[in-house]
Amino acid sequence: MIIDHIIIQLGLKRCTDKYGMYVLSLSDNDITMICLYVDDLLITGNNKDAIKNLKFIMHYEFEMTGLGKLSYFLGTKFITIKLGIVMHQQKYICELLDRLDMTNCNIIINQLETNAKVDECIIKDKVEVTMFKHMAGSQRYLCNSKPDICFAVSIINGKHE
Amino acid sequence: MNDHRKYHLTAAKRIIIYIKGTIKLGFLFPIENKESKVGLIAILIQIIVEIDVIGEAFMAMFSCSTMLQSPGTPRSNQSLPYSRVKQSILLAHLLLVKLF
Repeated sequence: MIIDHIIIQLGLKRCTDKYGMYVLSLSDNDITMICLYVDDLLITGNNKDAIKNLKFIMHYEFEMTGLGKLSYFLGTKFITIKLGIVMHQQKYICELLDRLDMTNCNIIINQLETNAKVDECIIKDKVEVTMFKHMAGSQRYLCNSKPDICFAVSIINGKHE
Repeated sequence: MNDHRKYHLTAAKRIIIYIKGTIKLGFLFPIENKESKVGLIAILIQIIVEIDVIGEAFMAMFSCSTMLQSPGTPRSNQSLPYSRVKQSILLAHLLLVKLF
């Protein structure tokens, strides 16, 4: 990979746990991070000069253009307001509901049945695996912006093991 | 591994329906305020046009609460006076009632 090679040459260290993450830390209070996803680069950090420098190098080497502040990335929308940063996945949820044909369903306030016993299920009807996996995968992704569903998602995903 | 029963699908659908109900909620990562020391708590806020106003209401509510400091932040020795706390909560309530 050419881009990987060049990023490493610039002195950034590849993250061992997370694929596509690179970190440059020159001192204790100075950190610059790059998130690489296919052909998109997210650059963040607390040193403005380092970010500017990286952007210049990327422009020079790969003819990349800076698209300014992060606004939409992998189905997640980021809005900067004066109080901080707002993150939501409204568009992704709308698309998911469209795909599953569930746009007109009535809403509920709890995400899991009380005393749910998933393992001791009596009904032995097998369901369509593709559809179930599609739903489960989407829900795992939605956990990023909705931590309140984490437990319910873990219950239905736990049976994979 | 591929042993998905009907119950699982029902549970999965239930989560989707729940998600539909919370579609207007997003995450706010507040900028660290030196006065309130809220730190990096993430709160759910409603994404509508007046996002800044609601955000302010929530910040007023959260900045007065010492319990909701981010983990790792040393607890400040001086707690806010009760009148100030009451005032903040009242302000937050007023703003929220006005908007929802």
